[in-house]
Amino acid sequence: MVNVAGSALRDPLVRGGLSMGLAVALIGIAYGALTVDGGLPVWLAPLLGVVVLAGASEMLFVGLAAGGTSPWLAMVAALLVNTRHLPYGMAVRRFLGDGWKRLVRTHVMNDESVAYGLAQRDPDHARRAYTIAGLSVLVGWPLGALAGGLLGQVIDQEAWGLDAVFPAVILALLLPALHESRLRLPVLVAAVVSVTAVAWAPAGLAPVLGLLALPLVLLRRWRHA
Amino acid sequence: MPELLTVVLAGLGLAVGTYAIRTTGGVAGELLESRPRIESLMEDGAVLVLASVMATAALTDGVGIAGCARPAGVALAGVLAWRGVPLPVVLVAAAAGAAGLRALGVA
Repeated sequence: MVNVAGSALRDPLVRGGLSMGLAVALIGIAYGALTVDGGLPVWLAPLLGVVVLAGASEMLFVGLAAGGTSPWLAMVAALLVNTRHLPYGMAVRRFLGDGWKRLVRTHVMNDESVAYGLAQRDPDHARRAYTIAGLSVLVGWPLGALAGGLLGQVIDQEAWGLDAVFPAVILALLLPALHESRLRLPVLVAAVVSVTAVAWAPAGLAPVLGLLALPLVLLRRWRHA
Repeated sequence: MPELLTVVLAGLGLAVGTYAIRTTGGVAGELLESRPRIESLMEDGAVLVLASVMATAALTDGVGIAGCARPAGVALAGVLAWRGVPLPVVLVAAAAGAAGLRALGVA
């Protein structure tokens, strides 16, 4: 058993996936604390963490519901955040496979698993990386949320720099894709569009507006074709 | 504070709806992949969304532009990752960078 665990840990894909689980656990601490702080029970954040498994939408949902917004309106707002799983699903369709594994792999589709899967060059590695990262997030995120709920406001996430962890994970995973020069300009435009959109777009929808840069990808391809 | 039962039911609704979006994405991708032009476009689309997720999380607090400490931590992580530093170290550096600047009084 120890040997199996030891050799698994020597696999760089597994180590990367586990560090992603650890990263979301740290963010989950803030989420759990936020939930309890809003007067909601300790078990709610871990429960949503398992069944929803989309951190940004859960934090918005819990924040709105605790603040007195109708839970159904909060649900709609949170679903809007999760519209980004539509383009994610299209991009990772090949990782999903068949049967009951497909059900699980569909559920663990999130920012980290999609970025980790797409970062792999080898298609076989890609599916494994996606699955490992997804399962690791499925464990790490609710556990972190539980810990945060139990600790309450003990941890100040800004003082520990935890708010920098999530964007750092995604940036590190995106870098291989940016080695392809054709994506650099569209990615820059997408980032500028979405950051400007934050001021006026409904909460959490701004990242999807980055898709407005997609025609640039097409344009570049036509010019090079 | 609305009743807890309503919050839980709406939360389950969020779970079901999110799963439906994920499934729809996968199925739509399979229907469209017979067209080679669209195939790589779907992956590029996801990269653009991820880049936007990263940029908004790094630079804003959800409403407006955030302070400098977080972007600086993320930028440090980007440089280290570019140089091939392992992911766990990159993440610790991001947190330490942001926390360090804040300890020095930089927002």
